[in-house]
Amino acid sequence: VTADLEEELRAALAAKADTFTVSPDAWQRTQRRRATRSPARRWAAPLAVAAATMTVATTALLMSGGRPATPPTTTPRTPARPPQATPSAPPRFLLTTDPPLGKIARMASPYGPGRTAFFWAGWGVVDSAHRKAKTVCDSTVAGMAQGGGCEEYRPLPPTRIAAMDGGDRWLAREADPRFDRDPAAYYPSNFGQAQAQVDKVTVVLPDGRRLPGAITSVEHLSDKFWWVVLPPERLTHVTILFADSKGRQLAALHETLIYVK
Amino acid sequence: MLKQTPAQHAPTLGDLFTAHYGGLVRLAGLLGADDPEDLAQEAFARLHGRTRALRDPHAALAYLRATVCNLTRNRARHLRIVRLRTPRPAGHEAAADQSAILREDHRELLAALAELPTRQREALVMRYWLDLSERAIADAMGVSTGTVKTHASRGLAALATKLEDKR
Repeated sequence: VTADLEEELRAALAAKADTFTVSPDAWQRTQRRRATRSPARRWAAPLAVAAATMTVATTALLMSGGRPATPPTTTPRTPARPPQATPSAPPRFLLTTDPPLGKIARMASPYGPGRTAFFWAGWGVVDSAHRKAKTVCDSTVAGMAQGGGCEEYRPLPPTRIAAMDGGDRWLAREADPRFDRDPAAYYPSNFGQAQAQVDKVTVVLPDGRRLPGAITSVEHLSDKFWWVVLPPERLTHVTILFADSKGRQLAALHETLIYVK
Repeated sequence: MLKQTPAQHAPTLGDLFTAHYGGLVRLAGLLGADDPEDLAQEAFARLHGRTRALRDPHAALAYLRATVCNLTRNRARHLRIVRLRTPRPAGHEAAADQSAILREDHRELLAALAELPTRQREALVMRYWLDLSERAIADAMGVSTGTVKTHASRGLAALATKLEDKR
């Protein structure tokens, strides 16, 4: 059986390899890269980045919130030591690849151990053709663990109050055993965009608990950016509520959480 | 394929590029790089200026392979964060026209391979596509030969299990 599998694998890899083609100007592009290279590249890995492992599927964006509560499906892992000092700046590699166009907005962790989220408008390469455009950059920092990314900025359409852009869950053990000592590494977070009239963000857990979120304006970007930190539990879903300055609920974002690790 | 050839003279970067660029693009692609050409070009750009490696084509090729492995691994790690911002469309891994020319059983096997941990995938690709020795695989992965054996055997076993489950 193993021999058959090995032969099958050889054949499949050979067939797949034949599907990759090379561009006629590859040598010229490599020479240009040598000539113009900078010390840090857009996709250079951060020295201490912990990979995000939670994918988030947006299930609906409704004008009214709430869904039946169910208990959390797993128990949290207990961190061994208190949080470390929170860095005061986002990872240098992101600042190099997508230099800020204005001030960097900073938010303290609205829940859980000390964490910081940074958002800023940048200017960087946005596709494999090396096209440059205005980007929105995010970075969430938990003790030693740093990570983040930038992508082309696309304002929300007027009909949409809020949207989720992404989330993270620190892979402490895989990235670096030292992160194992960092409690913040076990708290996943989600972030996204919201219209300017949104002033307050609250996350509702399946068992009905309500946690505060954070929201901020970012220079050179028309939308606001929100951030919620979730408890270190395997939650099946959450509801994120968006309200204006008078407390009127404007939207609810229902998210199904899928943990890939 | 990344075949090694005896050195008649110290090869230039252009010589190495002509001989190995295509193979390195394929290696990056098989390891799961989202932009294999970008990574292969970066590997060559990094080789530039490393005169010791350039004098020895075997060392140069080993350096290029190791760089492609590292870049693919790091790139994937970084993209996992970025991609969370925009859900991947179905079938992103391979373009539709590429999928169409792969046999169904190959697609199934390659899908299972893509689900393996990175190190296991690297060991299997370099063993079964490049036919590299365990020593050469270990150099490219930056691990010991014993670790290569472990990753390869565990990877093969995991592949067999995944395929059994699917079939």
